[in-house]
Amino acid sequence: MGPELTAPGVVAVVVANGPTPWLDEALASLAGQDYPNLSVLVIDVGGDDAIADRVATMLPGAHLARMPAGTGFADAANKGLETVEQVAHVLICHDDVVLEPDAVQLLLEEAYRSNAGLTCPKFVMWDAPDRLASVGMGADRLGVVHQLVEPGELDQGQHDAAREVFVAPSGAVLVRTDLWRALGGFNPGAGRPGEDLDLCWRAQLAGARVVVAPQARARHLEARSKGLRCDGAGKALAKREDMSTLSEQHRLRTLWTCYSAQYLVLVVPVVLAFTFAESLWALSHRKAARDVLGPFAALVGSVRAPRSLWAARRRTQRLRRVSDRVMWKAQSRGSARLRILVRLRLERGHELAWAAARAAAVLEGRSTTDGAAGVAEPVKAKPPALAGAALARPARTNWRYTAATACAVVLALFIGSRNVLSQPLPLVGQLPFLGGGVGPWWHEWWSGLGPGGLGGSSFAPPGLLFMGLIGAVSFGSTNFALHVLVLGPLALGPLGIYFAAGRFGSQRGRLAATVVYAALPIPYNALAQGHWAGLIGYAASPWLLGGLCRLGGQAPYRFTHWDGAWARLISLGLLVALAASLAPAMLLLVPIIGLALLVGSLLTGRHQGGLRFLFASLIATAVAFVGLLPWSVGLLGSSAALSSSPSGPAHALSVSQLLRLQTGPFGGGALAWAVVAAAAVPLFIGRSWRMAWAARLWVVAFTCLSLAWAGSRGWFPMPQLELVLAPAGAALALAVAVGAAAVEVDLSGFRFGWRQFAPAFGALAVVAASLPFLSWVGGGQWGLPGTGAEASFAFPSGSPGGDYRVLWVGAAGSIPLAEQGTSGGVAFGTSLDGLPLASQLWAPEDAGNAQLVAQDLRWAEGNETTALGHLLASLAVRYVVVPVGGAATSEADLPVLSALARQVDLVPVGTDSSYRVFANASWVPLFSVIDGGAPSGAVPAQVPEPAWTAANKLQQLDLAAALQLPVGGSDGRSFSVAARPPSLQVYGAVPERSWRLRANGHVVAGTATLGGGTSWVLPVGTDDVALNRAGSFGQQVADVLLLLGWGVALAAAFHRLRARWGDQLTMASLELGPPSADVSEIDWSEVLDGQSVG
Amino acid sequence: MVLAALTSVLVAGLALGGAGAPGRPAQAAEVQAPSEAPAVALSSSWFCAGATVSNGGPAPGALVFTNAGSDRLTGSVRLVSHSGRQEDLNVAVPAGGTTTLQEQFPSAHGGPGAPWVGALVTLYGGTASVSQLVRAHEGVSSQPCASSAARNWYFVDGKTLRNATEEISLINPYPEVAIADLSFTTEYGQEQPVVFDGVVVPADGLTVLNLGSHLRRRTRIAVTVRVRSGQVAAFETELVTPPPPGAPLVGSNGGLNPASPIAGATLTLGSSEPSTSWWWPEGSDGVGLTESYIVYNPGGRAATMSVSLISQGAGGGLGGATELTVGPYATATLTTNGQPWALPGVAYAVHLVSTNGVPVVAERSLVGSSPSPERGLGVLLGQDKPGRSWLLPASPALAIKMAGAAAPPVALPAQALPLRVFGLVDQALAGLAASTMAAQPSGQLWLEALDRGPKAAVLVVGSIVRGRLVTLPGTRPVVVPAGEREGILLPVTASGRALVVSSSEAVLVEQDWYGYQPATGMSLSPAVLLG
Repeated sequence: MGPELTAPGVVAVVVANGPTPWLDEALASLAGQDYPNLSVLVIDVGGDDAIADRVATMLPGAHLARMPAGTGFADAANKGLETVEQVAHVLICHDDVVLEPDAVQLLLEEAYRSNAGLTCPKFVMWDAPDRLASVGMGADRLGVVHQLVEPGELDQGQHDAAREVFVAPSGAVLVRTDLWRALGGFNPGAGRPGEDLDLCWRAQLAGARVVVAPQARARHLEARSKGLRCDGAGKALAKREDMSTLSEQHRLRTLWTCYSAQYLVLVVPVVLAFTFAESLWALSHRKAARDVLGPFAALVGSVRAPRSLWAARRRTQRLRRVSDRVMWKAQSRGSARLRILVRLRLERGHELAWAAARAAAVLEGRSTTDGAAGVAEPVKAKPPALAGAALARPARTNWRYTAATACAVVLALFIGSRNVLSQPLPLVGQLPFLGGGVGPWWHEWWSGLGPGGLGGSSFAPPGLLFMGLIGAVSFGSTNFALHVLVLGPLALGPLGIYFAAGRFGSQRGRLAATVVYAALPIPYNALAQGHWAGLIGYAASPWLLGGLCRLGGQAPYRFTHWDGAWARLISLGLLVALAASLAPAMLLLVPIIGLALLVGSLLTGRHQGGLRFLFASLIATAVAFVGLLPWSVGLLGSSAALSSSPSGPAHALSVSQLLRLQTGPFGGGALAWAVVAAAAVPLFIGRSWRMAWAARLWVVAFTCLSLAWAGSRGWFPMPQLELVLAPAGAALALAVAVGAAAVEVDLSGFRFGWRQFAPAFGALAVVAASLPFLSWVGGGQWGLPGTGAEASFAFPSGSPGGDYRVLWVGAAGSIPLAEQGTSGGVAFGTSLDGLPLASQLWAPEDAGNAQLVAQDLRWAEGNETTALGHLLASLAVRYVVVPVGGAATSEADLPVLSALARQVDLVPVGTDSSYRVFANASWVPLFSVIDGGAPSGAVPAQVPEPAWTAANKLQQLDLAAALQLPVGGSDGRSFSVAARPPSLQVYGAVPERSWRLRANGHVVAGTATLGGGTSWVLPVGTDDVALNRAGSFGQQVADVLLLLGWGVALAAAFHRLRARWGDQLTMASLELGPPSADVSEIDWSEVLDGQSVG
Repeated sequence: MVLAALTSVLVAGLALGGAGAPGRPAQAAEVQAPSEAPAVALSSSWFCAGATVSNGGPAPGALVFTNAGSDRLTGSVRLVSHSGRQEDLNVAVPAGGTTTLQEQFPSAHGGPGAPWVGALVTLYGGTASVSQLVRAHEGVSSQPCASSAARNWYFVDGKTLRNATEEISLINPYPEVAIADLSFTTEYGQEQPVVFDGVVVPADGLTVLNLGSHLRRRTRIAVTVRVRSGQVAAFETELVTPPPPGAPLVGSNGGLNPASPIAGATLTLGSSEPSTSWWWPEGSDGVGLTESYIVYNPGGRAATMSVSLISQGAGGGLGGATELTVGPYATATLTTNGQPWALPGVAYAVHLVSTNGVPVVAERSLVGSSPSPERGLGVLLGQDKPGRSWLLPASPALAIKMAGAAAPPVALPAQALPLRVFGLVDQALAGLAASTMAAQPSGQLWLEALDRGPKAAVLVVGSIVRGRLVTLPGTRPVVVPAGEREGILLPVTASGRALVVSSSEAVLVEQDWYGYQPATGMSLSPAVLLG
């Protein structure tokens, strides 16, 4: 005799609502059960004859019972089970439940092992089997049912222990036949939804146990809650409000039925109080009349049929084996309703929305790429109005709070910037400068970089185009444009955080994050030190981080397939491109942030979804790289060009300073720790996606802090510290928002203890983090000095005596232009005819003559020369300027200063104590005509020599005395040679082949000389000479291509967004329009309430 | 798990951050010696002043270019006079040798009155130095030129007596005017005559200030030079003519017009920065010698000083120590004669340290008179920066040779040799020195070295021959015990070579010249550190 003959018989009773699309899969799962003695009874209540063929096809051995269309689930189950005999257990199933092959076997084993009356499996989501839907349910003392797991919670086996629960969802429940008969099945008056609560309560009153067997898994579509189930006429079943009222009515009937008289005396007043409270709440929130009256309607409805109610109560009380005191212990304490209310406000549009989005993706025929193991064939029927219905709905916010917070932040920023706003911006650090106006920005972008720098770039930086556009929008007002470019990030950053934190659902958290981000010292330190890249990073980081979070598709963000996310990817890529055009290091930072998000996901076990972060960041970076071509190619081989204005070892900070983001004058003191404290809250109280996001954000913060810590010590080339720390600041601010959500959602799940102080602690931390900000506001200019490099010296106009260079030397980040080279601990760069131009905010990709200057400075610092002016003369350096004190480094930290002071041909000039200016007594103009009749030693040698030898000779050359006939401006003009001795040569302090010389219309070949200059020997008889910069045509072609590329990308993204707006409008109209067979609104509250609808 | 991971990272980071210094470690600013030659250089500049033209004036000067390198060196010299005259010259220095240039304008006299002269020298290469020799009637003095200008200069001791003059020479090597203010501390307290306020030093020019014109009859003058605009190099020239025989030294007018009893000439390059620690490799006491250490406190806080003597041959032990307090803007003098810890005939080194951290400037003053064979005045500012390689400045014997004043050999006083060579470990060297002196009896050239470190130093005195350091004939390596000093008598015949002192450990080095009758005078000068 085989084992199958000894197995107790089990009958699976499936109540089907016609030949629904998911029925085949449900029947197939029953057919695939490995339990040897399973019979199936399908009870059709849909009234569609086609079901017979479906059942016959999918489950040939099954029995089919037909009942009148519209028969309820409970009545159908009761009727069907009347026909079942000689089996110990029956399995009651919905038609949208798919059982794992071993589910029945495991259920039965657990039922026997636990001596359970009712045994239910673990329900996972239909399309995402790695996400939990239900592992049994609980109920409070008023019968309000709640899930024991969070919908969408990742199934990691954390709930896999068999245990007693109060309610077994009726989606699939194994019931002992004798118990079923004793109870009389479902209570005829209990109806649906709520029949499972009634059945389980009565079973426990009778002394039976209700157990969940999590090893048995079942996927549950919950078709009714998602509006997928229709009646025979094709109309969606049970509108939301009706379901809610019915649910309440059935719950109350269960209370009246199951409680003993003594306990009813206690419960009734509470029920009445809650009824009034719910009604008042709906009234105060201006709900519809049915919402206000609904609680009373349910109360009245619950006692509408007193006879049947009384009969049911008598039957139930006759079964009683357990006192209500014992029952209370099995029920949840507190009010599940209140918890649900809070959760409803938060979860709507988040986790369920995420789950719904995935479901929608499946139902729309798309494949889920991550976590697809065990996913069955998608349901063919498209659920109308499902996709995105709830996702489009933002978290509920009170606009008054938002407006008040925005006003406060803007007002504080305005007051704090009042002095800066009322005057031109000083030239401090790498802030863009007013000189020249908007026109030169366009000119340099179009025609390429001028000869001011020591090195060169093949193409002008696209950031100039952006600056030019801002200038154009400002109607040519450079002053206004500069204020927008410099001060705009102060407002853009908090705005970005406000939007990025929106998905976390807590308005308080969102506003707190905004305030915290506005109060971070990062932008103000950047401003005080003139670190424009830091400001760009501060403005861009929240948007970039938010974009990556959105594309990651992890709860609570909406899941979007790659093929539907390309518009977002391009948008994010363009945003990266825009930020990188102003701060090139962003091209490196974005993948690093993506990697950090992946690591954070791995830490919390979300490895599959975590890869999306990395991919999204890489794709966005690639898009940005393409968008910045061909300029971006030059960044590949030049770390200096990437970092532009790096922070050198002089800016190295301790860990405590970095954690407080104290990179400058702001951020010191104990209160600065408050940001870290506030951001740490979700790590202690967060659960589910809140914990996951807290981990991700903290990993981002730690990554950026670590980079800043290591890079600032010179371990690798490092951009401005504020730029690297900005993503850390954004991550911490977002963690604050997550913490607020955790306080509102998760805190109630903990017993009373230290965690209960988290709200007060978090609020205090946010307030404490904001207090220093208020003190900074008082200064009116964020530590920005009143004057900058523009006041250091009255540089003469270059043209009359010939163009000249100014060599800016100082601590990294203190010189008012991007560094073109370094020498020891100092950075340097050159500008033309005085102050730097806008284009010199970007470091050249080619170092050019920077190495010559670096060598010269090293010789000076090493006390190896006292004639540095002679050495620099060949590069047309007329002034050497060193920023000292204030935001720059003190004189004691700059050995180069004493080295410069030792030079006998450098004369200290200028009166600004913040800048030490030296005039080179030996300078020569950028282009000069050298008289061939000069002393032989004055004519530069044209044969390449070792650097030392060349420099030694150069020191003994008195170029200033030998030169005659200064050429004048370097803007490509022609000039005449007045004297015509037999031999003349034009000397240019520019690299060979970077300029072209025509003598009497003929091109003259230049020769490299003096290390970094070019010499052209003029033919005899030359009287007209023209100098032009080489290679501007390629620049202009690149400019046109860049414009075209950006135009196409923007148009495509705009087209896609426009289409999406159209979709959303259509969706909205569908929702607002009259219900039809294809449209039904999703009732998330049912799912949250734990009702097993479907 | 997440919380634990993040917390551990945070704790580790904080621990690391606490341990790790933020960025560059704090470094004490290193005081660059006013006279320091780069070992390897494209060029080096030297600024010399404090002498008069060689063909006139009371302190005829000469420039001595020393090239310790293996290649011939070229340079340019701009002679400037206090009257504004300038003359550019070129100079070439052979490898391992010296070149002497008389400070005189080739064409004519330097200007009216005392033709004070200075020189701005640029040498196109390293391992070289420039010294200035002054050969006055009152004596000789050699001093390295300044290799850098500065905004502050300090001189510790000077006097303006009936027979003593003191000049401060300010030379400006930059092509822009410098403006300096001078203030003084004398026996009358702080003084700041208006005439010394806003002293203009022309670009590439020289300004010489005769302190006696407004600080008359001061027996003790400490000078502070503050440059409010630009930078200068400052020298002090002190000339004391012999008092008339039989004339009262305290003056004929109730002591109000005193005279100095000992004649001599000193040229001193000022100190550009006060320090809390000063060393002298050589100190001595003897009959007829008056040695004193004068401390000038240019700051506003009183300095508490400790003066220690490091005796030779005692394993670096202290021969004695005493305390000294110097008030703000005041000077204090410690005379070693008669001190119980100063043993006559025992050479020692001296260390002066500020125990309360107030920086001061200090110098050693040596006055030699009969019956000592060493006559004249010697002044040497303290040193503080040890090194392994030194370039010796020009020997005053050179100046005597140049003047054709090489005296016939005379017998040395019996006590002269033991006084200087006492404690010399190598008696053979002492014998060699004695024979050398017999050949050049006009004076003794001494090299004094002090090893402050914990390890004994081996010193080699040599010159560069064909690119290699060759031991100077007549000398051999000398061991300077750890924490001790040593004196080496050098052959005077070596004065035409570039002498390099190479040491296995960092030491302090000075060069002393003691002339005997009839070429009297003494010259104490620091060696030039090869940086």
